[in-house]
Amino acid sequence: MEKIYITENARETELFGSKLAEKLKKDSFVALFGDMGAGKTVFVRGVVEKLIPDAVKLVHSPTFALVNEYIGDDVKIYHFDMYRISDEDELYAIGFDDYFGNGIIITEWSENIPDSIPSDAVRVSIRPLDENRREITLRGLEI
Amino acid sequence: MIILGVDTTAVIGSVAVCEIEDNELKSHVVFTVKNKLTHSETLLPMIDGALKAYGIGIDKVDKFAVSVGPGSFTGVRIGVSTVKGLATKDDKPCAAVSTLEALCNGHKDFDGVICAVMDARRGQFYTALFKKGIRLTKDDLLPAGEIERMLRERGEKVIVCGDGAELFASLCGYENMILSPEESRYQNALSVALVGARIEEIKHTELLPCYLRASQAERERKERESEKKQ
Repeated sequence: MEKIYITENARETELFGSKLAEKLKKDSFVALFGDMGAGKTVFVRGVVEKLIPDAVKLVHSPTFALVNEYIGDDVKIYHFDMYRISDEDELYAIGFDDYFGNGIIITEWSENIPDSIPSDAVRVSIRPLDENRREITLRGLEI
Repeated sequence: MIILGVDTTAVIGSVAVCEIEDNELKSHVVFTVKNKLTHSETLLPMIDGALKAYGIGIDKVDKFAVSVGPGSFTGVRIGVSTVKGLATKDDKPCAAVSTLEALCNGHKDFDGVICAVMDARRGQFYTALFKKGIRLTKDDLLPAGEIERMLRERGEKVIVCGDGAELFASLCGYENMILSPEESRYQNALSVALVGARIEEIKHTELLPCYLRASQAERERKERESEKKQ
């Protein structure tokens, strides 16, 4: 089951993230797909804005840190960037498995970890249509 | 001999201080936690508490036994590095215990095959088979179907233990199989100490994690297969 949405600008992409956040469980896995500049981090900011408003200023792409942790009172969000991960061994060696079940996991560049995405994951692909408009394909969740 | 056992290879953290003579447990203290805290927060206070409850200082420990894997990357490292540190001070001997062997040790009186399975994700399990304290297969990383095939080949009664037991049981159609009761299904440092008492003593400098990573297992399997063909 997949559904396609169009957002007109970055703010709408952010709000799409907030809307999706309402449907997430405390240990959901959200796999993001899309090229550089597609709007993955913008989407994550929307999720965090909804669930942990205090942490929204902290949201940035964890390309070098590999993971950002946003800790709320009753929800935790682990924001990964898999851009620099090249195989499953590396993923194991950053302790990725230890994050499962502890909070919401969102992974940017999920293209790099195809075998590690759980079968029940929410999949979000973001594709630029022009400078501002985005086509978002959602699988594994209905909003 | 006084042994300190440690297991932090999965969600559960466990510490045991015990006296073992000729494979027999004389006295012991075991602390096991499964809470929201991480091993890095609970392990040292637990070791301290277990020693105090047993009534000795760490200088009275004759041997350190630790689960060196397979298991969680972070968990294995916390356990191994902590024990390494503790054993370094007085150059005390150590024992590197397989997590899977310790899991199976808890069921060594079972009249059949003991199958330890730890959830390695991506549809795979860390697994090993034992029977009456004898190892039948080496520690391996396998999909459920492959483990089921091994069990069918043996055709014996099976008990499954480990944190992957429930998931494995749901994937495996082998009929003659029971699930280990919840209270003895998971890692327990007492088992680590008991296995550690009887296996080879090593120096703390030789103590190393055994991650049993996918690529390592795959490489070994490929080697085995190419050997068969030759």
